[in-house]
Amino acid sequence: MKARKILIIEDEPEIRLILEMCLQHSGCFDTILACDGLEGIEMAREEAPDLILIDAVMPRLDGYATCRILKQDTELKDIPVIFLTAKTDRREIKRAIRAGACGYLPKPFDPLQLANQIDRIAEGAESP
Amino acid sequence: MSSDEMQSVEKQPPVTIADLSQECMEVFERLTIIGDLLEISEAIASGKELSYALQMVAERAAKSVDAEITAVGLIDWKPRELHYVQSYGRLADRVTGSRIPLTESVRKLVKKSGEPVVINDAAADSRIPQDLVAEWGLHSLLVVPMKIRKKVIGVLAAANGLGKPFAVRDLRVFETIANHGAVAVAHAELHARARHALSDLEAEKMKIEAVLTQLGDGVVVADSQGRIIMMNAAAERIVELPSTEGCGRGILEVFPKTYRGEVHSVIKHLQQSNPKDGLFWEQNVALLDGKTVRVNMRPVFLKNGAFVGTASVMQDITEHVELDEAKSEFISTVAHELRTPLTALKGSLGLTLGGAAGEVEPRLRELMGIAQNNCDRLIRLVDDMLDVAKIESGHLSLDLQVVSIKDRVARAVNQMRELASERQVKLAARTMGRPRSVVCDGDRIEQVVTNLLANAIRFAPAGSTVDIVVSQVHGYVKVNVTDRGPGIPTGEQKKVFEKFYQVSGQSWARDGGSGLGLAISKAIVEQHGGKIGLRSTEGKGSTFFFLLPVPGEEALLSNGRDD
Ligand SMILES: Nc1ncnc2c1ncn2[C@@H]1O[C@H](COP(=O)(O)OP(=O)(O)OP(=O)(O)O)[C@@H](O)[C@H]1O
Ligand SMILES: [Mg+2]
Repeated sequence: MKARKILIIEDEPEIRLILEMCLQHSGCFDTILACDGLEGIEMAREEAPDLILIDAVMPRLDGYATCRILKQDTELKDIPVIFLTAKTDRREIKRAIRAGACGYLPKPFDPLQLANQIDRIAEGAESP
Repeated sequence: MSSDEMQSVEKQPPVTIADLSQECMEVFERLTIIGDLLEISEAIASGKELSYALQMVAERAAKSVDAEITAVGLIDWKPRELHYVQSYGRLADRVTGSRIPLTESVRKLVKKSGEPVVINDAAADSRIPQDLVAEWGLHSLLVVPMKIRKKVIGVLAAANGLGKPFAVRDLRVFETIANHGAVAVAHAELHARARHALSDLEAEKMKIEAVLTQLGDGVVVADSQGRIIMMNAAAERIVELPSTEGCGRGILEVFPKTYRGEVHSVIKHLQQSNPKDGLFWEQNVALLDGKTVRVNMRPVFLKNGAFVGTASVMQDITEHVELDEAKSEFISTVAHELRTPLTALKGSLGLTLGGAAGEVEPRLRELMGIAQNNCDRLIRLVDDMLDVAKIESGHLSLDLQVVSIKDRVARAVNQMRELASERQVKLAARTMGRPRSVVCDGDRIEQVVTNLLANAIRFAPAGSTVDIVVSQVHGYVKVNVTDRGPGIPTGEQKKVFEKFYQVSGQSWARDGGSGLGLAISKAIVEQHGGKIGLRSTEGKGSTFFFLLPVPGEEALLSNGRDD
């Protein structure tokens, strides 16, 4: 199976690095990185990724706002967006779903399971 | 006309001119008398001062019996006196305001079974105070009691000097005038009482208004048609409508549009409710200006059960709500701040141990394993602490859904299989009867089961079995988790549900526990309206169980009817 291109939007550099290593280590994903929402949207336009993994809490444009913008863009709206959130509050999760996310993953995550979990959510999004 | 007068007319056949003119005079006289009486009546009805009517009574009474002096005396019971409040004619200014002690003889005279008394030689009558007879030059006296509902309240008296005696025949008109006087007094009393009652009411109303004004909470009262009839100062402030504009409006206008449908049907329900039901409506309402008010609306019934309207108390809880939001925002921020470094730690350890940075030498692997275990323990602790913070601040919100407890238990059991087999403990799950679905937060209930299983596995001896039973017990679904571990001493069985409590002398089993699991589980179960508990025999093992209420057959039916 051909590796899919995943865009990681995460403001914390260390977590960004870990996410990148996790997904490359799994062998299922090629990763591209953005350090905030604005950069993420730009990169999504340029790179047309298969999937977007986005952090909920970020300065400038947070995950929710970014997701809403992505979902309003005719060219980008079909790319599945998965949230990563340290706030596992139901309210936050509902907010993510309302913003157009197809799923969420809690932080902290198991680095060896992450790729699998992303796959499962993405599959679920394709065949509801 | 009395019957003997009619007879006397019949007995005198030839009617002379003089007779006729006499008749005319009498009719005319009667007409003037009737006119006088009418005038008195009008004076009474006009609501003018009592003195005005009584003055007229005295004057007309004097005319009717051709008296030199007339006076209206009212009985004063306090000092037991006859008080002449009005008089007419000679000596009027001396008689008016004078008081005669109500001696036994005067009382007899006044009362005398309520009949008129004619005395034509006052000086010879012991019933008359002789000093007055001399002072006022009285000779003939006519005294008629004034009565209200058969009770003598005073007299109408007439007096003449020597040579002008009163004829018994004159008395009818005089009596009628006296009766009018009594009516005037009764009327005035009634008025006074009504005024009194009114001012009492007024005072009462002012008291209530003062209280309502002082009240920090808004009060809005509406009539049975839903029109506002009263609003206090706080209510004016809250809904930003002066009561002068608010009164008369529909109560619905107090609420933002989105609430009006609900309030409308609430009022209907309250209207049809029974005073005994004690039905009321309570709701937090977000007003358009950002304020949040807690509204408590209750029906108002009369003693006979008739619905007369609604009374609503509005409490401004904006600050409360804001504080509440700040609290939950704080918890959420703390969660984020604690979990971010843990994410980096767990990620780094996991990746390294997973070989993402190359082969890991066994000694290093062992040490990193310890770091990883403790990292996981810290993560669980943070999760639990956040749950406790939520529980204690009342922010543990449940996402209620129809859930199969059996399925949720099966999921929790599957999750724990790995841990159980590490400990060489078998997990045996089964159901008894037909456990029904429950309305609950499935994830939270799964968390409870996981907690109980983790404890049981931790305390179960190697090679033993932990039994999990899901059953239906009356109106509840019950979940039992039984281990064959050390058990819990009776004295400590209640305490294990307290946070951070751990049974003493079990240090061998304290791997990874922080003493929060059961406290959280208890809060979750109780928030569902359920119960949690345990049975344990020291040395033999423990059974932890919890019960969740199943919506009863009736409840389901009535829900169906409502929808
Ligand atoms: N099945 C059991 N057998 C014996 N003792 C138990 C059992 N379950 C709980 N206890 C006692 O009750 C205490 C409190 O349990 P609880 O689940 O609240 O905390 P914990 O398991 O110590 O930590 P945590 O669940 O927060 O990781 C335990 O520490 C233990 O002493
Ligand atoms: Mg526990």
